[in-house]
Amino acid sequence: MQDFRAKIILVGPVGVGKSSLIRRFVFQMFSDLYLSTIGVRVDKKTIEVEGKQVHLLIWDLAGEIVNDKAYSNYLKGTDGIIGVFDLNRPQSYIDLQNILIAIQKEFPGLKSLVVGNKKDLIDESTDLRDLYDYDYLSSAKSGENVELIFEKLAEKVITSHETV
Amino acid sequence: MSQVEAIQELRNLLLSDDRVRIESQFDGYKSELLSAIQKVESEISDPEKFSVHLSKNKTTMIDILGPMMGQMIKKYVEAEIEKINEKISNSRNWFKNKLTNLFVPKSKRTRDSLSKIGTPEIKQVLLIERDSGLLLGKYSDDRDVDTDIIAGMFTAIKSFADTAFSSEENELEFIHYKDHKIRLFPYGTLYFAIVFTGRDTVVLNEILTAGISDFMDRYYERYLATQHRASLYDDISGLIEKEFKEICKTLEQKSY
Repeated sequence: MQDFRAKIILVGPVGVGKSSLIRRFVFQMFSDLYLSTIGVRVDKKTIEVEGKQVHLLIWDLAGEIVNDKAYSNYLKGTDGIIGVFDLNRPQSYIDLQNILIAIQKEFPGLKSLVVGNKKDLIDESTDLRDLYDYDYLSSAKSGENVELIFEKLAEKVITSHETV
Repeated sequence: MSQVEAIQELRNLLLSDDRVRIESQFDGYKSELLSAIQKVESEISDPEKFSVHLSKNKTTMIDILGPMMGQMIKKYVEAEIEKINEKISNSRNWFKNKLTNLFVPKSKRTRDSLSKIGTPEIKQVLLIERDSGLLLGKYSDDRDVDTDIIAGMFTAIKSFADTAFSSEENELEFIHYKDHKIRLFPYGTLYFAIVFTGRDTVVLNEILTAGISDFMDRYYERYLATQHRASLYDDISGLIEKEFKEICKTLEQKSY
């Protein structure tokens, strides 16, 4: 089976649940201390996509450093990004849009997914499509769609590499 | 008469009685103070008188000097105990070495002694993409460590340090953690991270620089020409292992 390595970054404002999504997806080797000191922590998960062994190197970037120069340096060489916002905080959706626009400007063509997180806290009767434009909804608490999000991004990345 | 002169005149008239009273009081204090100073001077200059004075005020002197002397004595005793411990430890090691020398062959003893003084030993070699932090190939004797994550974190730390010190020309080259040292060798869009124990010697750096340069001269073009880096991993890891086994041999020879 062919091995494939990809760098994935989770971006989004502070407190939207990026680290919780990763924690749900992988066994973390390094402590949260790295996030508060250098603004990043790297984790890994190997999944199987389209008959390929895909090693996802997942970079969790602290929301606090979004305006730092370090932020764009960490984004270099990224294969795909997952933009996360909090479904309960409309402002976080606006902030995420601004972050994604800035990233696309610097790294055009970068594969991305937009994820509305904390679905477990939302009233089921709410029509979220009226409020937000997103690819997936997730809940780090219940684990809903967490694996799916990473798999879908991995598929996108592999497809883009194969069509190069 | 000016205004100032008028005020002075008024002051003289009103305060003359007070001035006389204060001056007479001050003269009394002055003579008392002068005689006290003279007494102290005569006692200090005369050792006999001084010792009598000290013995009379023994309790007061102990109260003043006691705490200061206590601190000094405590520090002195601590320093002496430290020295004694060091001597005991050295004697123990000397005795242990003597005993070992009786039972172990000379060639092995020599090798052990040299290794103890910090001969560098390469533990891991990682070839990493500078921007993405993705591992392109490795040589590692530790199967338990996830080198993909290590490569990512090295890159994150390197990127953080390079940004924090806003240096385009200078890059993070060396990380020291406990008995492990990590030397980073940039080459184009890639870099090597060499993890080793022992001393960071000139010989080690010369051997590594030459070896890496030679390796990259042969394989960097091939890396640039490859569209799918994934396909390189096993191939490059094999080549790195071969190259660095040779480098380790050279290092061993030059170190002894």
